Amino acid sequence: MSAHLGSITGSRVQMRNLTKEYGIVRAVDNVSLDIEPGEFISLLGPSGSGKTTALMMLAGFERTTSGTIHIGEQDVTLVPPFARGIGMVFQSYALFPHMSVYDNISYPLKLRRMSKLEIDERVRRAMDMVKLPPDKFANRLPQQLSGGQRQRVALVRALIYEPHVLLMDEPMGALDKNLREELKLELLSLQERLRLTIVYVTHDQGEALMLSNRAAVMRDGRIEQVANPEALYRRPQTEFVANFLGEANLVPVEQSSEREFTLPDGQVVRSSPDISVDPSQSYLLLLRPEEIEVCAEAEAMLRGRIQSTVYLGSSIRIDVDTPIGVLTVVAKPNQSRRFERNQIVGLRFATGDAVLVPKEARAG
Amino acid sequence: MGETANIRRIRYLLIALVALYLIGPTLVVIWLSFSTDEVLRFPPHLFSWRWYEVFLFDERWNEAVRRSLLVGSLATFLATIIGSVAAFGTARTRLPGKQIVEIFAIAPLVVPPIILATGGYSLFAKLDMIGSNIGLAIMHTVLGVPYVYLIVSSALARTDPSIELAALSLGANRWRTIRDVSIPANLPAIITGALFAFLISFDEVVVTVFLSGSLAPTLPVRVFSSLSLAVSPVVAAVSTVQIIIAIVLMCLVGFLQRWQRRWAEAVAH
Ligand SMILES: Nc1ncnc2c1ncn2[C@@H]1O[C@H](COP(=O)(O)OP(=O)(O)OP(=O)(O)O)[C@@H](O)[C@H]1O
Ligand SMILES: [Mg+2]
Repeated sequence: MSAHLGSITGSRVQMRNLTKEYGIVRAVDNVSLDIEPGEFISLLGPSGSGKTTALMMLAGFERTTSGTIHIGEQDVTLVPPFARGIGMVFQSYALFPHMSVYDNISYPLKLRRMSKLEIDERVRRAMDMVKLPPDKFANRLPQQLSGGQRQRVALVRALIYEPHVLLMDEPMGALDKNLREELKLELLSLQERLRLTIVYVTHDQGEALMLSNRAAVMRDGRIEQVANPEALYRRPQTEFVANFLGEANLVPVEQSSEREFTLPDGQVVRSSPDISVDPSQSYLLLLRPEEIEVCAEAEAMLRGRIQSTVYLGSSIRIDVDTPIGVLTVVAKPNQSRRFERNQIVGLRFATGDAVLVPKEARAG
Repeated sequence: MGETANIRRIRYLLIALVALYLIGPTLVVIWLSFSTDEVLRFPPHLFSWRWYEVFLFDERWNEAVRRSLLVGSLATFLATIIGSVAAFGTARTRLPGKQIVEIFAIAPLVVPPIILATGGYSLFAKLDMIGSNIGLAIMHTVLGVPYVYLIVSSALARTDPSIELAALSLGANRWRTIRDVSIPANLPAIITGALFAFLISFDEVVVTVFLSGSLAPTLPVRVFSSLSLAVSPVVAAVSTVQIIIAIVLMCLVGFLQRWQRRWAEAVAH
């Protein structure tokens, strides 16, 4: 698409204290987020966390209860959707059922009063770019396309008029796994070439980690943490984020000195210096399954009995009952090393640079 | 001959009986329309087209047809707009009072015609509009709205609500969105609703009798009144023409519905 869409450059998007209330429900609660030009950012969170509502306000389909939205230099809080210069891809693709593929893609250009000749050239080139050869697909109706093809049409239609921001609401939700992987890679290369600003809504953490420069984890209408994928995974700031991204072993610890924390079995871990700790707060030690190593009992920090094993192909997931609780470990099996239920194994993990998250106060 | 064959034969017999029961009267009417007799009698002497000629060339029947078409077109036009707008309003907006709109849109379907007729009569008598085409068309509109409303609503329930948002995001203002997306994407259903509205008006007797006043009646009212005077087989010829129109329109409806359903498949996977 670069030939014609090359001139796209993403805009900065700023949300300031954005709130949306439906009656007594706060779907989005005081969200502030600065999105850099050309950034791929995901809104990630469980069902009902307010992702779609936030996106709908960005698109202009929902009025804000309070707060402001800027796209580029312009305050668009009160600008109607058709004047915001955004592109949007919907989960259902929202292709016009009464229009051919060609008419769907050319519709935004027609609205912009482009000449027939220029429209034709652009549409054909764009269709070629996403592997929908025009002589084969131009005259088909959306219902004569596969899910992946519909997705491509929806994507081209949203990009062909060179919007500054692309909004996507679970665009892969309806596709099977292989197709998803393929489209993710395409989307990445497209974004790299066009330097679009993309806001991508998903509840699939894998998708968010793979695609985004940064992800905002949402919960109950609020942003829990915004960071790049690695930081979210390695250094979550809350128990919720730690649990939402990947698997987490969370072990209760007691603070014993400024940077030292005692595990339930008396061993000590040292927190990394960049984690600031509030002494009045209880903490949990985060151990990702792949950070725990299965080792010979002599070298072990801990011993435990295997409760269950799940074979995952290249690796194996083991639940081990230890004095500090049941730990989930992901290990690589090999010829000489096999894991079975009730087997006693040794475990170890790094004790410096420990990641601690505040323990959540739970009701009741 | 197994038992299943017998059961199958009984089943076919039952189906045939039910079908005969349902379309029997219609077949009798068609049969009677080719009568050579001066008055309706059963069984008729066959075969002639004379009653069709009477229908075609008698000025009073022609006038009834013209009036039916005039009132029917006007009522169809109004009912289609009102019913579609109400359907869009309840299916695609979050305006308060949706339930009330829904109740008003469907009410004429459940209120007995005689009540609508007396209500309409007192209203239009006060306005001095008894015998006016406009008054009659307005009452027929009321009768047609529920059909348009229900048919368009059910189509909207099956089409993707995001397509209008998509049009807006692509740069279409609200008017262009309605013109380019909302209407064409639901056109088969809107036309189906219009056909029903027309058929309702084209068939209506009770309300029409009340509101016709001294003016020439519509086709079904003329059929009705000529039945109570001299019973001429022309009535059967007229009815046959009406039956054919209804059948043609229903075939059209079937076609339109398949068309709309195909479009709905653009959403589901
Ligand atoms: N039109 C509405 N009226 C009332 N409440 C609403 C409306 N739309 C959303 N909500 C509520 O707002 C909250 C956030 O909804 P939203 O659709 O933004 O969640 P989401 O994060 O997109 O979830 P999902 O992953 O299921 O799509 C939910 O509690 C939802 O019930
Ligand atoms: Mg959502």
